[in-house]
Amino acid sequence: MSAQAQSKTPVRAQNAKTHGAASGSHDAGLPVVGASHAALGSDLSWAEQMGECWNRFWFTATDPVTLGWIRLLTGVVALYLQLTLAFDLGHFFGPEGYLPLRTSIDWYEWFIDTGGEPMLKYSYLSYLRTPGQLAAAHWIGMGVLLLFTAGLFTRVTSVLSLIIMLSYFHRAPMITAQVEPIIAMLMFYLCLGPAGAAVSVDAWLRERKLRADLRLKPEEALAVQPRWGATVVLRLIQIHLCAFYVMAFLAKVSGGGLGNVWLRGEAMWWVISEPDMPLVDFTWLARFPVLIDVWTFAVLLFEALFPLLVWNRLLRPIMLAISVPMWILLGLATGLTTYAAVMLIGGLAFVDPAWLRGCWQCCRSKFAKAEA
Amino acid sequence: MPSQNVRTAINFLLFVHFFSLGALLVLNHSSSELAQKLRRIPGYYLQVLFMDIDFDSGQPFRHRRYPLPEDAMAERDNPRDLPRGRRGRYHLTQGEVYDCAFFVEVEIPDPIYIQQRGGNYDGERRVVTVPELDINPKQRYLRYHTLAWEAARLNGQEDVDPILLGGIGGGVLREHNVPRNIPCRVRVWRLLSRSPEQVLHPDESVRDKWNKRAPQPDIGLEGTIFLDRNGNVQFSRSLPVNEVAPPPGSVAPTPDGAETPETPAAAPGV
Repeated sequence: MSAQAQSKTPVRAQNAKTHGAASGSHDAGLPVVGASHAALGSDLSWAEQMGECWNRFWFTATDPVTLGWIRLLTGVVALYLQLTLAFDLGHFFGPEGYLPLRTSIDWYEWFIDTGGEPMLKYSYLSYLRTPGQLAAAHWIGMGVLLLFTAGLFTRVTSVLSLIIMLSYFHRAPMITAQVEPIIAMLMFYLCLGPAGAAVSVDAWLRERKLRADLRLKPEEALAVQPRWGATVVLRLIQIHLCAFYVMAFLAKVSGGGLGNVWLRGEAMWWVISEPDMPLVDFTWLARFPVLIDVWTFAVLLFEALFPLLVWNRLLRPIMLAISVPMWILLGLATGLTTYAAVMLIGGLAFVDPAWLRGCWQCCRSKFAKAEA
Repeated sequence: MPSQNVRTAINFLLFVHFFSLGALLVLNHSSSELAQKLRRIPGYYLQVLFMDIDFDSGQPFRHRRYPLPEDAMAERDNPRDLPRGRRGRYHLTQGEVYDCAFFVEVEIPDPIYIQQRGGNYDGERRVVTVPELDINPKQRYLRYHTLAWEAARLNGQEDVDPILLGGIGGGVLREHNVPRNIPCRVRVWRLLSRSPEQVLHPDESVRDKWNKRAPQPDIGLEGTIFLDRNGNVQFSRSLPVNEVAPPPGSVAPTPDGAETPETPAAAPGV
């Protein structure tokens, strides 16, 4: 057994208890410290208790499997975005396309006060001149995203993936819609934590090496190593997501100069009656205006309650369960399926890591059976 | 748990990050000078990360707000009614005039016709539309849709250069090898959403969701575009000679001789 393996690892199946303890009780999907802290807290001053709570909230180590799932699914969506962009590279980024560099510069100068430093300089696409260079850079970028999605060399590929995606967003922000800022947010946070510590090729390779070093039998499980870095990143995602819901709700109820369609209960009608975007035709609801009212107020209510109730241990599963049909329906009604998908992926940050670990083990055992 | 020093460093970074985000979310549309300074200081950092979009308006940090005619009217009628977040992406809709589909149309000389004429252009035209409705998957369509929407929004003002309209028009001219110095008409039209009454209307033409209800003179986005001898795009808000947009509410003859209004009334709420 190598010294490295001895120092780093978790060993046998019984150590799985560690995992159970780490993910058994949860605060917003993440573990809280045990009774010792609680007992200690009673002797502390108010400020010290607050400090304890703060440290517990941000720095208690947790299973990185949640981060792994978020990385995997975010990578899939990013790959999809880039794949669909491959058809239109010339139109959007080519020198003869709709948005040549000069047009983007003009747009920045007119629309965004960049203080004389156009964001275009942060995009490597601004330095590519020919369609061939563009295509080569695009497919290399896709390769890097694929590695990130699979979780290979994750520490490096996560940063490179963020740079790649940001380059496209900065080069042509006028073609970005709702999904891009959310993707940027998720990918930035994923760079900060151990996104490749689970559900990744990196983790698989590490585990294989450890098994060989420790001479473990296949049925012997390795204990999970909780990471405080995973907690910090998940908390960042959780808070940012809640901020999104709060702002989206406030924006809807703040209304417009022509009257507020959300408070009047008719907003969902104007969403589903758009002629070109919906994937499913819901205009038959015109015969049932009550249902349109209900749908509109359900969206409003959900956006208002999610950031409040998702922190409650009992109500969290309910809010997460409601979010699934809500975003699926919104995705179908608005045609913004990738946006709906990343919102659901962001919601994974609140899911119990033990449950996600179970899903991952289930996937692995099915894969192993299929392989056998 | 990490050491005290590490925790302190992380706490400081968390404070900076959340302060930046908070300033953006809360102060992006504030007219207070102090608020603007507060949000500008951390602005660059969020800008680089593309996290400078506030989820209220969907507008990026440090954007310049060009009021559109509708805004101006709302401000005049009730200044308090001019909200921070109109036309925001994350509203999904506010049932407003810009919450609908926009299309950029460029009338170009038919390339086959030009070829037959030995390169001479004689007025025969075809229309190229951005976005084309048959683009799949939807994510691709959405990008063109967003671009056309942005072009419409940015060009709603006379004093704003038609940057995107010129970019799209120039791209279409170059893509179809339109000869230099041939003026082509470019315009933006919108496809209004239908009201429940229109969807349930017995008349099929009223129910038709592809009924253009265009042109849309209240947006006033049309003009002439051509490539000059250097290949640069030139845009003018005047129409090509002998082509003048019909005034609002005018009538145009249909193929069967009947007259139909060019611009039906906007749907309620839009």
